Amino acid sequence: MFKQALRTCAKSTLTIVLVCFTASTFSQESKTNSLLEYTHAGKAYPPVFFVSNIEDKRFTQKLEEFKAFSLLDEKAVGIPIGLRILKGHRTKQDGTQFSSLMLSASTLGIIPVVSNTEFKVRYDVFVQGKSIANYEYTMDSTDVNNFWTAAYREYETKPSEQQFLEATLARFLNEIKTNKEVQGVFTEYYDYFE
Amino acid sequence: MKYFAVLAIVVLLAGCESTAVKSASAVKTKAKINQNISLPVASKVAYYVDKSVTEKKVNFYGKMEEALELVTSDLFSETGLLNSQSDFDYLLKVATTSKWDYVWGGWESIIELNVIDRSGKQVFSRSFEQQASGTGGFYDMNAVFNSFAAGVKGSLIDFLNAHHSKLIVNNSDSPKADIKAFFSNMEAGTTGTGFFVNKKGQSVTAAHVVEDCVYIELRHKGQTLPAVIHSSSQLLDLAVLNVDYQNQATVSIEPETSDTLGKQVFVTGYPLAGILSDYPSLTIGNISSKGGLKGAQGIFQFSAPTQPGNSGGAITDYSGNLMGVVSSSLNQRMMLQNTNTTSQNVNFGINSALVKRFLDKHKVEYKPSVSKTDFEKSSAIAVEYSNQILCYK
Repeated sequence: MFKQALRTCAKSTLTIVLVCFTASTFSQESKTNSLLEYTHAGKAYPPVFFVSNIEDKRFTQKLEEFKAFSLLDEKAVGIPIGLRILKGHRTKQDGTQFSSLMLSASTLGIIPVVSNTEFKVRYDVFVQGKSIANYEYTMDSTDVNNFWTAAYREYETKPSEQQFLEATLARFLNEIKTNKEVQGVFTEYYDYFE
Repeated sequence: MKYFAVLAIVVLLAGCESTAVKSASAVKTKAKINQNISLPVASKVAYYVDKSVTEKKVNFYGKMEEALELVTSDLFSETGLLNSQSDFDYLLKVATTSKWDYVWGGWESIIELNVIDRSGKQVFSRSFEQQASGTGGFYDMNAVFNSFAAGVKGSLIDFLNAHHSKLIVNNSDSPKADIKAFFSNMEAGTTGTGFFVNKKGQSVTAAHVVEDCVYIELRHKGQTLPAVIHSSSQLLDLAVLNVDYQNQATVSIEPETSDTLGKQVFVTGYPLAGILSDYPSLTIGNISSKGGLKGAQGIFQFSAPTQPGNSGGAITDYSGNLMGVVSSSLNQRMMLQNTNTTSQNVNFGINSALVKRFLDKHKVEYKPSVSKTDFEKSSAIAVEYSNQILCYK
């Protein structure tokens, strides 16, 4: 009798948990989708002095395809508004890396070093060289390296990181759309330099 | 020994870098807010973080500003970094110095928090230590941020618990003490130049001269007066200051701009304050290009020598008409890196057409007129309308 009651209770709890999980997954997904999409409405934003350490031209092309900015100029240092996009990769200094490093060292490098890594994309909107808004997007991943050669390895952006990088464009454009200070500067630009 | 090894491995695997707290409610403190206090309280606060650096110690003032922004937004209805236009019920003055603990790791910080009411009276003071440790080591700035947020939140909760019944709430009508009264031995951090455009005490300068100042003063003919920003545009790098002063001389602004290429101009200003005497200086040159850096609009190039402190000064032709406002110079370091040479007298000014549009937009009065005086008279008048701007940070 007691076992049956316990089983029924467990079943109903599991059902509730599953329903809640599914609901939260759906709500998360719809929110994510809205962030991944961006359609520029109205007048294009003013020209910007564009600075980035992302060498892949496809990324800049993708930003241009949104038609959000009237011009992304990498040489026009005199444009008062600037957009800087930087990507960066960092190995986390955490317990995983330390213990993995010890394990790798104890096997003279036969077992590789596993580290948690952080891939970060940062957007800055500048006016006369001063940042007025910045947004950071971070993706965590894992990296596997050889104990002896890790120091000489040049880091390359992984396909998943590349995908994440491109996805941040729409997120950034959605964010500046609602940033009053940034929109105020764009409007002011057209007030004076139409 | 076996158990110790297992425990050590578990601890190592569980170790992780600090993650910055995202909301003030997530900041854990021992102090608890009294139940009869509902947050946020209706007081307006401004915060100021001391930026001085003690020898062999570090000042993470940027992290402290971020921590204060996070915590105060949860506790007070209005909050912001102190600037020359801040209106507040309380000023939170914070100073912090940190040093690395070479024995156990982590940053040890000594934090001083003073709460001063709008009349300039100190109502709360606390000095405390915070420890920031995480496996991220030297560069674990999230740990520093979290420890600052926890320390500040705890102290501010204690302040609110102790002063809730007598808290000043949105008291904009009561007189606010001069910002100088909130700081001892306050000295101007940077200086620039301005010039009067009308006889109502309105002076034009460059926006970057008055940017991030907590207090602004205008010095003219031996008098030092408090100034407030009437209007400012970071985009154009222009600002207008108001001072309670009846100046006599004003710059002449032509109805139609005549900034022709090669026109002879002079610049009046107060460069290199602290090194040179307080007398205005005057340098001459000409309009060397009607364009500035690539992509710039409303900017021209002139050759009259300028130094730090000249920014915001008037560029006038020999007849005394405003041609523009001193804005910037070509960065010599950048020139050296890119071309292996330095530039000579490549300075940039905001043209008078743009200055007029800015003044019109912000309803700043000026009388369009054409001056036809000679150089000696024009330069003498320029000394009369030029003034020095002092920025306290």
